[in-house]
Amino acid sequence: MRHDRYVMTIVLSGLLLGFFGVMLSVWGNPENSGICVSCFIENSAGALGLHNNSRLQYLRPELIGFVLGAFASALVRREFRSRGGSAPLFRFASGFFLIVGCAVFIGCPIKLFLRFTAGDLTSLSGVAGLAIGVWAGLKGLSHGVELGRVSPSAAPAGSGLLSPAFFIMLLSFLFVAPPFLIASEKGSSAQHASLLVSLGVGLSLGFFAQRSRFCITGSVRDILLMGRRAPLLWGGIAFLGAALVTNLATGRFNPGFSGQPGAHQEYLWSFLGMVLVGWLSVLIGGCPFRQLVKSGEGDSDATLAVAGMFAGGALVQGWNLAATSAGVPTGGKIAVIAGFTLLLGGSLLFRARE
Amino acid sequence: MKLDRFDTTLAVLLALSVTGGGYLALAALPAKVTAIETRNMEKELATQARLTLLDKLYAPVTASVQEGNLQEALLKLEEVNTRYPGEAHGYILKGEILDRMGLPDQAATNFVQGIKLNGDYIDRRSPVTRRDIIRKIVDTRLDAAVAAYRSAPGNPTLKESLANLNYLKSRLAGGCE
Repeated sequence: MRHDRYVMTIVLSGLLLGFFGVMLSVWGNPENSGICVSCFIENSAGALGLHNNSRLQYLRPELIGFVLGAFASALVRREFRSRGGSAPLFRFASGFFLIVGCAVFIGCPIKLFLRFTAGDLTSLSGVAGLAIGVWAGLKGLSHGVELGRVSPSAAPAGSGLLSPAFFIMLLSFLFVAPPFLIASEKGSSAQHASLLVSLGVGLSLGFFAQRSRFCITGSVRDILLMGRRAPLLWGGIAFLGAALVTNLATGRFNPGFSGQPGAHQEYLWSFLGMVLVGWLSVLIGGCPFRQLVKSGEGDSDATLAVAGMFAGGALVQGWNLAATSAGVPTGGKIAVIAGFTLLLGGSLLFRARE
Repeated sequence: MKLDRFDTTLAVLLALSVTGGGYLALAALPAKVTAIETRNMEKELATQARLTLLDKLYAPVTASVQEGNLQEALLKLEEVNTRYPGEAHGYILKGEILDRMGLPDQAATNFVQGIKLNGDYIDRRSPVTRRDIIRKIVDTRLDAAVAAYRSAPGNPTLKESLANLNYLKSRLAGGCE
């Protein structure tokens, strides 16, 4: 009975993520980007003045909602616990390279499947890359590559409140904008759903994602590990089904390889970008979305990954690493390889040997 | 420590990553040079555009200064400053005019406001630099300002004049801002 209820929560989370992921585009977010954690991080970093791409500066309410929704859920269910202390710098760097991988592909794992269910066939290389990245991460885990256990005792009591406090401050910026907050008047950041809708969707998704532990790379991981017995499989199916049906119902399903919104045709780099994201996600325990949710429930390791993601969001724009429809800049390719260097070097260093 | 096949695989992939990254970085060098040149050109264009715009905006003021009509220049400057209250160039021009009128302390006040808004006016290599006139004011006024302040330490006007001159002296000396 309890198991059934848990599976239902996962399915509900998947349905909401798929439905709102498309509907937010209908309500004003950029095409195929109703929910894209890496894009939201880049936008929000720009809004806070961390980069100067005037087309990508907007404090995305959804992002704030994810963390605070998870915070609320963790409080309600008495699951909020300050914990952390495992390989903090590696997690920060991993957060940075998560965004590099996403920026080279153009989208986080959620957007990967939103693009796919909208008929963007260029995303197939990313799907393959994510699956292989998760598989490689699992291989590493099975050979003893792990960052150490997350420990409640290693984190001072209350330290887990820092992330929710930071996002509550950002929430206040949405309603009383400080003079340093920037909002694009052109480009994709000028496209957004209304504040209350975005915030409401973000809060509900954060709430349910905390309850269900649903995340994209987690679903892929569990499917590879447990096959049809994985509860997250049903969440993944619900997410894909809801996104596909909503795309079809709203006339947003346009299958093809060319002319897709926010996509390029450098398949090798899309593939490698998502291998990096999948592999890192397994190593640090979740995709960018999951890191936000975990930081809302008191996990300071995830908060460090989120801090790294903000640094990544700033620098992929400031250093011109992010791909565009024109393709992947050389700097972005070098950054992906640097990410693999970190990953492989880290795997050698963090491997537990008998 | 014994290395197994997994370690060897990781090490080979790591070597491939480092080599591939190094190759790409070397291959990107010409593009980097082009990017730097493009960025420099954009900066130069922005600087030239700003100078041209400032010349145009403040042309009536500089014309009056060149004719020696300093009061008229100040009036015209106030008109422009009303339209562009946050523009550093207005404060700098006002400082120059007040200095010509023999009011170095008031000139210093305006130079301070202008430099706080835009540090280019104190930079040695900037095309809009006013270092020479600012240095002259600091050199000629500072000792007198210190003496005046010591004689009446409670006087806020003297205190502000001294603070302004010290600020300008500090900026002339360089260092972090």
